Amino acid sequence: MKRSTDRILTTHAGSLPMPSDLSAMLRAQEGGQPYDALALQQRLASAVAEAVKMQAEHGLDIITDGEQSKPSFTTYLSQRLAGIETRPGAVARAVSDRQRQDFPDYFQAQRAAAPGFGRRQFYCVGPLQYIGQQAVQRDIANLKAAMTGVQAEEAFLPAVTVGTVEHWMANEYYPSDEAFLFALADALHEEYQAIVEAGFLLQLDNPNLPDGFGLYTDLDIPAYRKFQELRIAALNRSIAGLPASRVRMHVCWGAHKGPHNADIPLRNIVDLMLEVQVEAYSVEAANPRHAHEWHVWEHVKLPAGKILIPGVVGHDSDTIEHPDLVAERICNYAAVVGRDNVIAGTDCGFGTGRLHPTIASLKFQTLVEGARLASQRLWNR
Amino acid sequence: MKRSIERIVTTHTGSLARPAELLQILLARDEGQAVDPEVFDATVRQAVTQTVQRQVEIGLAVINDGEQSKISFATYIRERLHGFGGADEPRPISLEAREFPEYAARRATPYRRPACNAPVAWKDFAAVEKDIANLQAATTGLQVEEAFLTAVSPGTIVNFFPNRYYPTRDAYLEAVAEVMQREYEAIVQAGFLLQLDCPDLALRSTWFPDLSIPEFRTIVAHNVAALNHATRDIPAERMRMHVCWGAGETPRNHDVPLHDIVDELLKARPAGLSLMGANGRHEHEWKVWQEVRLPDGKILIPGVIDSTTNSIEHPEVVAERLVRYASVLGRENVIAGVDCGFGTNAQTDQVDPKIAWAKLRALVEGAELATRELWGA
Repeated sequence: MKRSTDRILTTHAGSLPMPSDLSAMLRAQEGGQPYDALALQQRLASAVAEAVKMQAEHGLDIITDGEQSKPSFTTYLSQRLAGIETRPGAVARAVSDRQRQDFPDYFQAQRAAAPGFGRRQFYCVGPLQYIGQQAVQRDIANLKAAMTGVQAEEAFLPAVTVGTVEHWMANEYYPSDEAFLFALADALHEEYQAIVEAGFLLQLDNPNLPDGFGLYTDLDIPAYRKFQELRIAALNRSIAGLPASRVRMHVCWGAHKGPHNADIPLRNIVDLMLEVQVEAYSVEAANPRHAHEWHVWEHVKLPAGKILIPGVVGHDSDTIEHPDLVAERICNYAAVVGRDNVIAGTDCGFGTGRLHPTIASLKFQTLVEGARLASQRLWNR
Repeated sequence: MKRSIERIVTTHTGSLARPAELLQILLARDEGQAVDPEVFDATVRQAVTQTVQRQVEIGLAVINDGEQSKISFATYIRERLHGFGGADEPRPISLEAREFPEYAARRATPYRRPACNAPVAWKDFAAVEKDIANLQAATTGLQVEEAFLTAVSPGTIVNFFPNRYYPTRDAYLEAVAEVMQREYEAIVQAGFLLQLDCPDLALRSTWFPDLSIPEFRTIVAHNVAALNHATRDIPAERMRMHVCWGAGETPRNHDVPLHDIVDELLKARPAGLSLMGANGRHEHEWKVWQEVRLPDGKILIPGVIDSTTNSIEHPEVVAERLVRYASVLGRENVIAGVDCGFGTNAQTDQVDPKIAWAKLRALVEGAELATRELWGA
């Protein structure tokens, strides 16, 4: 995995705004409506090419396909798994549930403004089996084609994790949580292996570690930590055998706009995060609920060889962070974990309706400019 | 003016969410519909009482009436003064809207914009007296450290209502300053701090998109001169001014850097200077004060809470921001504030009202943390 050896590298969390014609086709596909399969394949390939070109033109170093094939970073997996079913009207719990207890009116208004809010609940009703080989190979092929002739340091593909899938999948088949989660881990392993074998970095999208606290509202912090132990074990099982140097993990507190007052502090889960056997950790850090958490690394040592990818631009506001602020944030992290161990990232993905494409583009611009300013300061140029 | 002598004093920018029944009446009045004045006055009175109590409950030190009587921090003046009329005038197209027309179209704020087409003069000074009486009544018997009332700056009035009467912009500005002097002085004579709302001193992209920064600085200088003229008989210590780059959640990528206007801002008479310091475009500007000396007697009121987002700042983030300012300016020269109002325009609550109160509570908690750090234990 590339490191910031002579300047601060830049990356982001994955998803990018999707062209509206593509998202209409994907919605039709996901909803079981008729759609033109060939047209979808072609549009997907061109959308990935556009997304890659956009990232490269902004000067981002470690880039991706913008998750253009995925209506959601997590529920895309429902199309790649056998042994599951959904039921009419079944809605999964949400990671905003804990805050909703404090601010019911705000969340009610949010839901009223977004009909169809909430993820469908799925149920595991048979042996879990990964059936997404074709889909993941298509994602790989699209990204490979898009990268041809493009200037970038490295490319990654994101994939969801066991604990995050569990937010919308209930076990009705396996005899225990452990059996269920380990079976899910083994299924996900196939997707992970395909990505790594294709030569891309694998990004594990594991918001569950922080944002599960918002969803499992009956757990206090000690009980929640205990609960996560098995999820961490399953996550490590799902990446067993893959070189850690090819894997990074993204964690965040849920990408929804909102108060975030009930977010579990990073210091309460940072040790669990570091138990996951990956080389780099991407952590939400730009928004005002988490901007102070660089101080956590004054007390917790980032293990040797690991990389931290703090979010230095966020999606909680359309306001474009000033490059000087981005640089200041990067320098704060560099001061506590060492400049070589920092890659500048984003709080979460900018896609799936979070940011207008114009704003996403301006945010990348300021990210790259801020990293350039930070590099000047950190390498005394 | 209250200073941070033993602890970091807290305040906010002025406007707070209005109750639904009051909002309805304000909108009807703005549209020119007949509203029973007694019903209006009683509804405002009650809203002021409630908002004052709430501010005291959450522990804010320097509070106000939440601008409950006003449709917006600026256009309220149209109801109080003669001189404005005719159809709404088009607004300039901001630099953001030129760069991103499709994005900007989704975010236009509604307000009436008639021109100044006759001499500016007082029509309803009683409205000022009612605001004063309401705040006096609402604070009576409560533990309030200090209270302020806001008033719009001459330059902001001139920006909002285009000149179709006076021979020059400067003549219009001077006439407005002469008239507004009465409102400013009444607030101070009543024993309240006067806060002058001065987005005109920073907001180039919205009002003067075609002016270069040096040209805009000339406008700022004239506006500051008008402000100083209108407040010439008020002690500097009894005034603060709020300067900002617009109230909305916008890209802000064309905002004039503080660095480029700070010298002009410091020529204004008010002792207190309230500036944005929390949102992503201006958070780094605490560093401006490493190069620019805050003159003796001045107090900086940086925004440590963003008034445009529904994320509640972590108190430790608030404390970190305050400590940074205190480290360059001296703790006694810093008051904790908010980037802008939570209801600058009554129609557009950008932040959920309950979340806005939680953000103000985070401000108070953050100031307590900063106080512990800056004064020890």
